[in-house]
Amino acid sequence: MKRRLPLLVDVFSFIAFFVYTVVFAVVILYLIRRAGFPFTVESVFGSADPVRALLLREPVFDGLFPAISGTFLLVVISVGIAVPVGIGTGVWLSEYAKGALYHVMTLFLDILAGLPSIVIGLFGFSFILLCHRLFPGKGPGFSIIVSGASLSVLVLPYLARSTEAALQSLDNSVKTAALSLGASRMENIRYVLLPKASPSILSGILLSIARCAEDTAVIMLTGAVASAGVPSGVFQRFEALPFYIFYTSSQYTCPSELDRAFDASVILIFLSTVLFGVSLVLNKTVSDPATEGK
Amino acid sequence: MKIRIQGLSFRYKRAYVLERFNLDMPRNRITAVSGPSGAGKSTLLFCLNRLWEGLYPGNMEGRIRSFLDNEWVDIYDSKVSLPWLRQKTGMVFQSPNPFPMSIRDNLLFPLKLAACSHGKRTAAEGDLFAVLKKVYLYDEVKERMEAPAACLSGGQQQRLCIARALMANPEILLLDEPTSSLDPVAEERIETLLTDLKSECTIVMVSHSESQIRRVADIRVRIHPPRPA
Amino acid sequence: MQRLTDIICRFIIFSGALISGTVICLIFLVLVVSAFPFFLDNGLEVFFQPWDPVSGKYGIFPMLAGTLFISVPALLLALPFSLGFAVFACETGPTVLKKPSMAVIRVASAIPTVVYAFVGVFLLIPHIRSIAHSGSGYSVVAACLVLAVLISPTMIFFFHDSIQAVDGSIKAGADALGATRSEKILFLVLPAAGRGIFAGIFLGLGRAVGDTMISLMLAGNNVSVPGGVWDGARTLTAHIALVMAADYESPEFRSIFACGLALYLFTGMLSVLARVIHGRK
Repeated sequence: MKRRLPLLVDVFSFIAFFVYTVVFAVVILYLIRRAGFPFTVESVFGSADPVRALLLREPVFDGLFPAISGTFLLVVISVGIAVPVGIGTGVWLSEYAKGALYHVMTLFLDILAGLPSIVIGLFGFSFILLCHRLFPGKGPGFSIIVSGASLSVLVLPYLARSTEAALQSLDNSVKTAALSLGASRMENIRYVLLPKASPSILSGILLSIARCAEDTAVIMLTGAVASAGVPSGVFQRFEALPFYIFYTSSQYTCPSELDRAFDASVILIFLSTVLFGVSLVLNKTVSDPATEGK
Repeated sequence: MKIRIQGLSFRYKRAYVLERFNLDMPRNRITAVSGPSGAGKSTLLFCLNRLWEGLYPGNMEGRIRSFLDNEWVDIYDSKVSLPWLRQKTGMVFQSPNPFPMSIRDNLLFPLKLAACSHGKRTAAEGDLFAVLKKVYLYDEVKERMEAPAACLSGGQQQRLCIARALMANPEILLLDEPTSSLDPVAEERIETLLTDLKSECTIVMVSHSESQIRRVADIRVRIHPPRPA
Repeated sequence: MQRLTDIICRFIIFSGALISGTVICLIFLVLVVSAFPFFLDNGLEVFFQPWDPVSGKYGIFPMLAGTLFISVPALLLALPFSLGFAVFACETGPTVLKKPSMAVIRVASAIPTVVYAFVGVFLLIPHIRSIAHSGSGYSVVAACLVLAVLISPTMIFFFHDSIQAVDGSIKAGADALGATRSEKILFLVLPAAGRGIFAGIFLGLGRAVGDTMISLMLAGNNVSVPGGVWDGARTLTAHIALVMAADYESPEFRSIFACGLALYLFTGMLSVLARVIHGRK
């Protein structure tokens, strides 16, 4: 048996490849077959007129437009908050932090990265309750802004670590060239390091966008609802694609609602795949030997 | 004779690295191969244990026969098992490459392999110490067999790699510039142990150093780079 | 003007770091403070008691059991297959399949958990219902299987990177000794990649424990310790999602903070362990 064990490893690796390929192919093909082409006027706008709906003159009740716009606004808010904070933290980690402070911050970020998304949602939820208690009637309440802020907490550790990694992976000659000419540390960061590292940083941002668009647990606890129309303000409840998929699975009132949920699934996967793909290309251009000066 | 090479041509992509190369290497002697960079010295070694087949895409023509297990074998014959061939033809690389394990585990590794263990699954301490003594490493590591091999100096690591290769009981030992990354003292130790070893196996060694070849080699071979394509 | 942008940049960098640091502490504090009344009323044995609101018992033990019985088997199922796939993609697969196989995993990692759960509801549950001959099909089994599929891409990426990082020179050394490909992988490559593999396991476990949607949509949500694999169960994560709409002052409601705290402590511990094992530079 001992003799055969190494061969089993070899054979098993083929089995594993086969199993996963079949499983993932089944999932993707099932969704594509069931959803068809998801970007049809009917699935997005339902029975409303597309042009008027886009101008926010006509509400859409049986289309994905409110959910799409909710997800879009959510991503804008969460990434808008997370990018400066996350990149700032990453730059600080790479260029300014030393010793114990560095280790403590990276520990914090590691812990934050490992937290379940629902715990972060719970944090947002508690924040809403606290405001409600301390400033009755005046707090933000369940709203897209709280969801966005909570989502930014979700992607913050990833952005910080990938920015730090992007800066650290620069060639030593690149890191010190400007300094040897007399540039200050801040000038070096602004004019040399960040621009050079920007493809990697950008790829981190794209991945964060994907993460914010697809999360359900956080927004469930902070303001996502089944039916709210296009968000009319940042302090309003909102719809979102992943939440739509979730509640449709348990309570759909008509087959077209279910169809739209499949469409929403394909839209999300498509969005993520595109973002992942571009992010991969960006990373490849960074490590292209032709661009490295050796 | 131990190895007979006839008409060996090795092509990598478009360029010929070796062209119609012929050589006989005698049993229990040290054959030293030298020549300028790119002349095909390392390639020659890789042809002898067919290791290039795992490492890079190339094209080989010609015949190589080795006298292994008391008979002449065409080592490129399809019936030849690669693990068997490589057990018979041990190799030591230019830079020491000990496994990320303890010294003892490095030495015991060949015994885990079906090709090398010949039924023996473990080795007695005595066997390990005997091999270490052959490579003049025994005194330096006998107290710390459990220490990671990475703790050793470059010269010690290289001797460990030779010991590890010897644990597989090869008939031929191939060495690719074994002392090029080592200091003169370490180099001398290895040259001494190679001279001792030739009574047990046939040694083929690539070397850049004229003085080393003069000290150590029984046969010396100079390879010239093939004419440009 | 130069000075102004300089100051702004400085501000962003340092305040960014400060915000990051405070947020993580804040989350912990908020959870502790919110969960405190719950522990005050029910004591620490709440972690071991069953959930029985009728008799006033608000133990979260069934949820702990649910999380355990769903995440651990999912991890145990996903681990060998993920490792096998990574070995295929790095070593044993035919060269033409190596890159495409990782492309398949990249697309799979683009699938959100809610979509996996959604597909599971329509594709898997009916089959489970017919195999089990009873029950609704919403069960530990369903959640386990889909969760295993969910966490696999993450683990595969990690394992793949760790195996790739094994130095080519020692692989050549094993080849030169006469190792077959299988022997080389089992006795050299996998042990050498060991640290990375361990870290990947912790990552997978963290993801499994922290997932909400799959257990919420597939595991049935009965608040009792599951008796068998075909039974329903509720995890800590699903409990939070389900109970959040309850009356704010009720102990039922407060239990979600206890669940949140349990999750925080467990995943925090996992992160620390992974750091220690992988060794932070």
